[in-house]
Amino acid sequence: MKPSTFTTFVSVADSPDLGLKRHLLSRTHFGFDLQTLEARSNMGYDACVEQILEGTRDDTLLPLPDILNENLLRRDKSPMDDEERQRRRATLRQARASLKVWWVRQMLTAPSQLREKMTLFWHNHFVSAVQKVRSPLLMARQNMLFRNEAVGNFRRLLESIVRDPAMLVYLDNISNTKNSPNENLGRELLELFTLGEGNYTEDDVKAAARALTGYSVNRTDGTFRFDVRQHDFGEKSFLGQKGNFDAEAIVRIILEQDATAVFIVRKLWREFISDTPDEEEVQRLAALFRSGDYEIRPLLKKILLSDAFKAAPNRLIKSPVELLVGLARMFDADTVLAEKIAQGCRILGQTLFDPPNVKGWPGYTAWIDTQSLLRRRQALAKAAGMLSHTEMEPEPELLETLELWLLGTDPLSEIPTTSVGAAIKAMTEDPVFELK
Amino acid sequence: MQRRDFIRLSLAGAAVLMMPTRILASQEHTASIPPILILIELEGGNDGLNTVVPYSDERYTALRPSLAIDASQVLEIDNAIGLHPALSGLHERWQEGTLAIVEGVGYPQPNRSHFRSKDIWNTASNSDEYLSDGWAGNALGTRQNPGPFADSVTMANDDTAPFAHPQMRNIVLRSAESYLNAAGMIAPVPNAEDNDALAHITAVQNVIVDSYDYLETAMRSNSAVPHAFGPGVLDQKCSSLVELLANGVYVPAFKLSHGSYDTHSNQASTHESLLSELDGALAILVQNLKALGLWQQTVIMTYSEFGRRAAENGSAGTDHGTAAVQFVLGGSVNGGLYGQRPSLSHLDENGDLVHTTDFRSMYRTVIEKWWQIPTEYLSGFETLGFL
Repeated sequence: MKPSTFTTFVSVADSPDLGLKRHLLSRTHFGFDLQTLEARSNMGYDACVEQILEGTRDDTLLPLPDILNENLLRRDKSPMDDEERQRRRATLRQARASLKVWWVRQMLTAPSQLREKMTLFWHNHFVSAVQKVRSPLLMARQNMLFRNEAVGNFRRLLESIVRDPAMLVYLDNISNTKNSPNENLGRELLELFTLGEGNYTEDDVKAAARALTGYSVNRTDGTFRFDVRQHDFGEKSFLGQKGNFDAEAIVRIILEQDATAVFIVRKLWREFISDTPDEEEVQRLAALFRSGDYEIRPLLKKILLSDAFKAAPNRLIKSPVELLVGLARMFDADTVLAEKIAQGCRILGQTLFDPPNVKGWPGYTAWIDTQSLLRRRQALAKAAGMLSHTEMEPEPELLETLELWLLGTDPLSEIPTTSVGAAIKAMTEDPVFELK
Repeated sequence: MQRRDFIRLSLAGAAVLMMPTRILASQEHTASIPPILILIELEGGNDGLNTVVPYSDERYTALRPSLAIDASQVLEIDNAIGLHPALSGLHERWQEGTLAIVEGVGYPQPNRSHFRSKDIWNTASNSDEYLSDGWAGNALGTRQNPGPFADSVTMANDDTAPFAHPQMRNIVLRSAESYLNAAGMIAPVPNAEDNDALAHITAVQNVIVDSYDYLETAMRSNSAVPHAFGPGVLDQKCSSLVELLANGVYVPAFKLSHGSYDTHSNQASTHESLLSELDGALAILVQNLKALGLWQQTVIMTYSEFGRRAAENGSAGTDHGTAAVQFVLGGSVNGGLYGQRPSLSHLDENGDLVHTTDFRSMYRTVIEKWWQIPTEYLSGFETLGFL
């Protein structure tokens, strides 16, 4: 990243719809410097949306940490001595930490910020946590699945997730067998991943669990394994259909339901627009999503171009990742800060690769309680203390531009005009800065 | 056009930030002690059947071939039930007459989703009803004479949903010290109104501002926790809680969570360590309450979003179930058995226990008989005799 050595700025008065474009950037990026905003000053809004969506075709990826190439899977059951066990544990711990820092670094530098945000969105939708999965390698592979389909196709994503080793471990499907089904994955597949609560019965959960029996993981290389002996080939009755369903059939039936597209669109609404989805509009977008065979990019385009989107700036609350990665990106932070940012995200309640439970981070107002607000302000104050060369006195026009860039609207607190640094510090500590 | 600053975040430019200290208002500290509730969430769905074990029921051993706790192991309550062997501290409370065991706690048309069932428990709603206010928030947020400082304290990272209410002042903290260290730099802001997200943030910010002086003054008495807790996560939460009490910081409700009790596989060892952590922390908590003279003033109540299926699954674990047993303890609690024991021979169509006691009866009992707050919205549920 290059430092912001700019010498000119666009005045807000010269670009009347800059505020709307700022809103678009703040929802589709983890954070952006002033130049990124200024570069849009002469573009139309629709062209900005198009540019961001086309940008998602860039899949530039930082190489995964080398430590993931080490033998992180237990290949045999031979007993380990204490020293070997400790060495293994240390390697695993280090690999988990490196993976988290790797993702922060990727977020800091990803050319397509939207693709990166959607990768995080799917991580928080199809939740698995390394604390239970143990293996950072399986988590890294799952992350690759999320980023490959981040703005791709929801059907493919769903087809892959029921065969994803990290998921099969996380939701106990490796012990879901013909003679003793385990409902964990079957239930969450319906409740949290697709249909949503209220759109299926307990019998459907049991049928889904039976269809998923035998979907397991190879101990030797951590790949998907279909265990024929443990799969229940019997007839099942699922959402009104009867057949010898396996997981693929269950996924097909799930995608035939209206409820699935509605559930996903509603969740995307809460991610991109506001916490109060317009149900009529959700139904309309969901119908288009389904008839478009669950292609994600066109759906995002409709969302970003919608009147509802344009009408809702600063109605959402930044997640810790958005707050800290965003701050670093706004001020061209060194990527060496990635480690600190990963730690900061954990302290603020969002440990990457480790959501608190299968429902993921609840988001919105749940990000802010007395404890987390204090931690956020501490982090922001610390960051403001790291800003360099900001002693000059700003002219009113520059202050106005800084406010548009950092807050998008008037601050609630008094902003000092003694220096650019003091003004920026006060803006980042204003309650409005917590919004996106 | 204007020359602009060179703005960049870098480690080299890092400076230690001085936190402004607030000018402290001297504050009269009145030591009136409200009836205190400590709410302990057994997060993930605690297996009631292996917590209070129906050891003499042969259907129990049939349903739990690998998980049943042997009759010789249980800590006997009567000739039918006994506590899990890890619950020796609670067994002492039982013998002391300060432990109430409420059996068969649940609700009609049980929901087996963690999240939906937590919503139901947190908001005291019916199974098919969606409410936003928490049951305790509803009672405490509308009190006539709210006390100083705050209405509730939740330990950091634990679910605050039982306290959700627009007028509720809920403090979330890890410890008084870490809270005060950070809260000193927070300035009051005008309350935002037309933007829900911003309104939430400004409300929380102003709760911090309003709580600061009171807490800072109280903690200056610097009273230590009488009996030290262990290093475990639950222990440390209890320790922070007792530290507040030791310094005279009383609120009507404290909340902390423990878990996860979501034991789908290899339950026996996980459940044993969970119960043993719980029992150990509770034992020291009770010791402390007694030492501080607060045992009569405090009620500790457990809850969990559901119990687990009567029959074990194929992974030596249990899947999501329905009704379960809950504990209430305290110096003012009438020890004994409450509610009815669900029958193991009349399970529902899912193989789950049928509830006999509505969880809202427990809430109504606490709200009316303990906090002395009228509860109209829970009038459809009877109160229980544990208070």
